[in-house]
Amino acid sequence: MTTDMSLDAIIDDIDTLEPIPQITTQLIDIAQDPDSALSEAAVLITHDAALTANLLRTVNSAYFGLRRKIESVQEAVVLLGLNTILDVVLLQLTASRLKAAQAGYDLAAGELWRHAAVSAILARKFAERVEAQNINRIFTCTLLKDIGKLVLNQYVYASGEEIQRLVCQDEYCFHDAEREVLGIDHAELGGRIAERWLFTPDMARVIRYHHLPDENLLEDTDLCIVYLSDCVCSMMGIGTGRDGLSYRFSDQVLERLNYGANGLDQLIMEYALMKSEIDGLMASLSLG
Amino acid sequence: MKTTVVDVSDVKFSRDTEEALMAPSLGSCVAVSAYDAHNRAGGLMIFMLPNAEEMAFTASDEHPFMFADTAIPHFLQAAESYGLEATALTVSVVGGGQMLGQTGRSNVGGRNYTMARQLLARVGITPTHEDVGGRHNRTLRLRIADGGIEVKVAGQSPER
Ligand SMILES: [Fe+2]
Repeated sequence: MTTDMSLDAIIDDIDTLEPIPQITTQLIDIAQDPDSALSEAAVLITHDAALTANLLRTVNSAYFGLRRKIESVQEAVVLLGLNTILDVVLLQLTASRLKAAQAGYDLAAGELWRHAAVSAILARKFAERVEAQNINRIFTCTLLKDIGKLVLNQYVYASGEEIQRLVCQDEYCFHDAEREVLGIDHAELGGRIAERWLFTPDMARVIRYHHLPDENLLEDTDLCIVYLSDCVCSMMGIGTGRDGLSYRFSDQVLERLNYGANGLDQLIMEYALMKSEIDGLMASLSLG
Repeated sequence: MKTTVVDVSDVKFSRDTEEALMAPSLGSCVAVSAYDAHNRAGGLMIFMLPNAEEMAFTASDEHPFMFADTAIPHFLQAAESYGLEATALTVSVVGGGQMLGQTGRSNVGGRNYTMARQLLARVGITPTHEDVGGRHNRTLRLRIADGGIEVKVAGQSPER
């Protein structure tokens, strides 16, 4: 199969990918709109019985440490804040799409989602620290950045040896090897999926460039945070597959976000100190 | 055989010969294992960063296994308390991978490994098995029955 033929087949496959539940897109829009009302999200979630049940089970878990039992979405939003509720719901909604094993990437069941979820939680923390403007968008983009792997998985599986050779012998970044062999990489593909699913152009852009292919992109603080969260998760081995550490690290991103000379040590230390909290949240999500 | 997972910034010991201790998916973190063949017991510890002192980290009492400079002395001491004989120890060092472009200070994996080597050398220990560096995520298993080490690199079949 020539690269062009496989590229056409890959692009066609975007349409066979089961779309993300519609409520996800609606909640993402609400999360990014500063004028949205609390009630709007609560009403949407309440209309979905399974989602509501999952949400209530999670917020009533030990992790959230609430004194009394929460019995409605409305109450959960009031007590824990809209951002927390949206995070929990989006984490649970994406789990259904991202939990399957991805043999092409040597990811066991649950690992792709674990990487997505932990890097998103981490991205929110980093974003809060540098006082980024679109914290909810950064969270969502980080959660969905590797969505392209769902489509590319079978192609990476079929061309595994060729990709592995470029990565191991020729020092290719994994996404560069994907593009060389298959004509497209999982990040670009993720950007296209985001467009097909009618996410905002800003979201599609961050997903498309989440491995920071170009230095000009350093201007984009949101993208830098998404990128760093991905790097830290890979270094910490959280939900990493055969692509593992085969990406390029940029010191300049640390400078861009005003981390000093010990920037990366600092960032990993911050992760280490948040770890038990992140683990607690992750455990509360998978109660069911 | 039952497998017990060791978390990053943590340690586990065992004398259960039916058990293996596992450090899953190591990236830049470094796992140090110690095995005493005489007593058929061993331990596994994973640290994340090289130097607490340099980072002015003040919570080392709470998190002794986060940084190499506190983690390695603590690990060796804990091994001794657990009953591993210092003179009979077989030590392995695994992990410390790095991304492309991680050089100098940002090469946390490389610095982790160097620090581990130095601290072990200081007490006269030379690791008998090392599998470090590169752009791999590694999973390490230490079998308590015989001290056997197995390292699996993501995307490849297991070795040894
Ligand atoms: Fe990616």
